[in-house]
Amino acid sequence: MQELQRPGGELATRPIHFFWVVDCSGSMYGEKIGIVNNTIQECIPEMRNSADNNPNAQLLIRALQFSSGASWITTSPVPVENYSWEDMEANGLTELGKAFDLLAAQLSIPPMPARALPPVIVILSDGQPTDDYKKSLDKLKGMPWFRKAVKIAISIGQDADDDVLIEFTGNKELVLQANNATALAKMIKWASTTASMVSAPSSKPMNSIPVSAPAASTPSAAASVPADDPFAPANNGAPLVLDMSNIPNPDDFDEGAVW
Amino acid sequence: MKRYLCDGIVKGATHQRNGLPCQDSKKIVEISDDIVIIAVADGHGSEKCPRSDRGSTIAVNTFCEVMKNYLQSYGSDENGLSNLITFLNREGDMRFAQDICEEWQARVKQSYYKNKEEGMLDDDGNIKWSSVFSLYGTTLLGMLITNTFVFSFQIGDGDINLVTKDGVFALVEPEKFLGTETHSLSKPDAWRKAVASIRRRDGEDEESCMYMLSTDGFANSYTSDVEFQKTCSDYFGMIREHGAETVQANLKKWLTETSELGCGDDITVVMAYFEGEQ
Repeated sequence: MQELQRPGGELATRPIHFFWVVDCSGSMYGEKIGIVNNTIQECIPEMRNSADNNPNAQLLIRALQFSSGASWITTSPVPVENYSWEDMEANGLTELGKAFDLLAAQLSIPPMPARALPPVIVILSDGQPTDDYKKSLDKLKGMPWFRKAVKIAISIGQDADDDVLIEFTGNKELVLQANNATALAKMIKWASTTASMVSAPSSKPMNSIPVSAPAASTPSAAASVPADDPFAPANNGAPLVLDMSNIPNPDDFDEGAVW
Repeated sequence: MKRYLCDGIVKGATHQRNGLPCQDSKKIVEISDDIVIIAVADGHGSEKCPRSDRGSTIAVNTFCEVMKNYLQSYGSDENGLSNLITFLNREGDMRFAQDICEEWQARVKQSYYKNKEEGMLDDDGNIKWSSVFSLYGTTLLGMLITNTFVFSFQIGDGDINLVTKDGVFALVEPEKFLGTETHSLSKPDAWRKAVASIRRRDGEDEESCMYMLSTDGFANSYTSDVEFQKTCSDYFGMIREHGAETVQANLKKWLTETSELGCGDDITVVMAYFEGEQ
């Protein structure tokens, strides 16, 4: 047999884009932003290990901060192998709409490729938006990759606007409550593991109902689907790829200072 | 025109690592020197579809069997094929698709009766067939290639292309989704998502060409559509230059490498090469 070199174009593993979106407003100053910085930094080696277990997916990370305005810490996606967390500082307002605008620009195709695994977006916030975020969020919701994305929110303290975060994730269960330091660290760690959950290449039957229903309509959308419908979106509309059974229970970390 | 067939199927690199079975299937039925039926299928492999390897096998068997029945019923002579073109042109994505879905569901039911699973009964003790079908979730791509026309049929993702020296041409345009979702043969109304097309052939006057069916693991292993199309052209060039036998002998190794360096999914490729005037 004549041994020939493989013909064909350039091969590529499938990218999975992971976004940290962090509230750096004045109310995050001190312990909260300190825990965010430390915990995310601690998560990076674990994310690297998970990525090593799936060499057919390339985990790309970037971070976005918002306060009075919004900005990317790392504009381009960075492979997890080369990624290092840059500490954020807290001061200013909570201009969430600005963050949504920047996110929308990066979720367009291009710069996002059409061939990729669903992105993961983790937003952390402890307050009410101080700008008109609604228009920006609506635009974001219209984007195909946003609709496919795994969206997780970490609601920090009792002043966080859970309604906005539910609207963002499209799913109440994916708004994780963190009312003290221990809970915040646990939730960040759990969120960081979602990248490995979405990186398996199995296909899913297309659902007849949008994967991410608007937050306000999520309960009714879920209720309108028979409980035993095998084609119904899992987890009340969250992407099928996410196993939420091991989300830390906030009640387990109730002791200690409450924000 | 002389016909040469090359086909390969490899378990995905990810499935190798995780000890999962290959969920792709393929089947080729050579009816005569002029007529061949080809089918490939990609079992979903997700948690809700634990029997998708069997689902894809049933899918390719179904396509070949249903198409064979059509050929028998219309006849393989010139007149019969002419009537078959008319039918498939008009009903390829309707009645033919319904026949495929009904037959697949009937075969899945037989498979399920032999190996039942808990949790598939409703409160009245009836089998929830939609849940059973989803256990076997799969896509399906099929072709009937004759010397006068080709019929292409598809439910779900994957690619059916015509490759010539002038380029790569998609024979059907299925709806594409971002991420990992696809239409599925396992949906009760799957036939509604079928896409089909007829393309006439010029018989002996045709230049060399190749029909290529592949599951999505193949295209997803390339950086872009452009790179994937370049790959299709390169395979065509390889067969022209080195012959189908040599390509067949190397194909498994190439596809294994493609999955390892690409998306890690199972990959199935079937190529029907027709040698025309050089």
